Amino acid sequence: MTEPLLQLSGVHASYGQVEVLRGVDLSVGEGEVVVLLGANGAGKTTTLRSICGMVGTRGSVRLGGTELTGKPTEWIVRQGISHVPQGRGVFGVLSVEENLRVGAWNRKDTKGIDADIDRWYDVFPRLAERRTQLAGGMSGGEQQMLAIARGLMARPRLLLLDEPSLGLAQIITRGLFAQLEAINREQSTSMLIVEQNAELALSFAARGYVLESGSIVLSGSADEVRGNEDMRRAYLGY
Amino acid sequence: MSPNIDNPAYLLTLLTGGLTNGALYALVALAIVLVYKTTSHINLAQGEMATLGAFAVFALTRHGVNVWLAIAIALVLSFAVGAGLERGLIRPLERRGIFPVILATLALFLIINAGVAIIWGTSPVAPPRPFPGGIEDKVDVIGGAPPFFVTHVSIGVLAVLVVLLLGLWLLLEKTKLGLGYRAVAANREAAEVMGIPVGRMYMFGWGIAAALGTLAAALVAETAGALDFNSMGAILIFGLAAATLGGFDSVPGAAVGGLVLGLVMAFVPGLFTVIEGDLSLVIALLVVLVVLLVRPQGLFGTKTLERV
Repeated sequence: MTEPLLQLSGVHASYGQVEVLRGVDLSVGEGEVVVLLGANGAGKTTTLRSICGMVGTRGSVRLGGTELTGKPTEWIVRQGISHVPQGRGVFGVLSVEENLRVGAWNRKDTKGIDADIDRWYDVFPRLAERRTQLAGGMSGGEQQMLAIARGLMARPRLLLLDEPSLGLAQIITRGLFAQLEAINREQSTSMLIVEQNAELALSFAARGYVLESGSIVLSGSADEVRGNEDMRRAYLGY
Repeated sequence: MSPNIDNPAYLLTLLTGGLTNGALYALVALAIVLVYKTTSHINLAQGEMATLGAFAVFALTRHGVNVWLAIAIALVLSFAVGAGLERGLIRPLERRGIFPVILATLALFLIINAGVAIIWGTSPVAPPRPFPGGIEDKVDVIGGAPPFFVTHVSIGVLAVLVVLLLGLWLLLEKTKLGLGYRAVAANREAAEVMGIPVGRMYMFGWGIAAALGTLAAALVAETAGALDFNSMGAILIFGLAAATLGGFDSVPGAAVGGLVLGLVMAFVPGLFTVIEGDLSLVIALLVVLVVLLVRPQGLFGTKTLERV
């Protein structure tokens, strides 16, 4: 069996003295969409941050066979990972277009970058209308679209999405997930999604993991996770 | 009230004098802002590093180097020293918190101040003159008594500020390096996740700031007609006041803040003769006080939002 695109083995992570991840094993295959569920404080965001080297980590994180643990963030993202952080993290004082250009920081193909910008304007026409506006002045939904488009400007092999639906109206969330599905289908971009809206995420993902107090307590196909009795308990955290 | 209040030549003289000094404050404020924007540090040694740079120009010209070439060499050296200090001194300390960094810049202030005094002495030297500064080097505008004229030095200083602002704007707004710098300034962690080399952007900010400071000090010495180890002491305070007025994270704010401060400091004592003696420091600190009370983020600065 070939190694999956992303492989976490026995990953421990801590902030100072507080250990947040206690031996997480998780994988994302080439072109696969995987959802990571869990209650608040279970360690979902920390899992994504440990992949990007943004938190002190022990264990092994491998991307396409390359060990990422202990490497600086800027090096890790160059290996083909895009991280769309929770709360979006767009550059509020930069214009929409400048945000997209920052997303393509590690690319040299000027023409390709321009073409990709036009393409995301096609996907998210709201962004095209606001291309010269400062990103900080846009609504939460628009900022989320921008954050995702910016993340994809790097043409990543793996997209890490942290709570993409946070603070969005339900109808916008549905539109967003439809776009993600199209991106995954057309470019076979692998995705690891942390999401509160379990029902929606499981309808899109192929597989799911449930994280509880820093350990994976349940994993399987989307249907298995959805059908599991314990899932709701673990997910709700009681 | 000054008896000259309705004399246009007198008022115009106050105006050009204020703008010239204001341009110098603006240069120092720009240096402070360029460091602060990305690293959130205020380099207390900014002025002394600038004095060192101006003495480097002085030393080079004394060895027969053309003054503009000497300035160019000093700017490159200053950039390297600024970037090197960020990498070698500030960044290792930063992990221990903000106070070690403040203390380190204070230590740098004292060390450079003493070092310059030891090497070049404590008495003023004749500064290198990039612009002709003789008594006849002026453009007469209004004859009579009092006359109104603009010195070549004033024109030169203002021209340098304009060219510099244009250059900075092009660098920050139109280049990839500038985009990376602004992204780091806007959101350090998000910039890191985009793969921007954050550390190199810090070094870039410190380097540009040091080069700007050296240019400012060379012009301050030229305007004052003298250069000594304490040349930039007061100017640093005016630069900080200008940065506070314009907004600590705003490049255009630093320029406007500097010019406005220069005008205030020329017109207030110029029009109200009740005020005796040199009150420039008091006026600058009053401006700071008013800004902090009325509009803490400054004219163009961003309000800090704490998300909880």
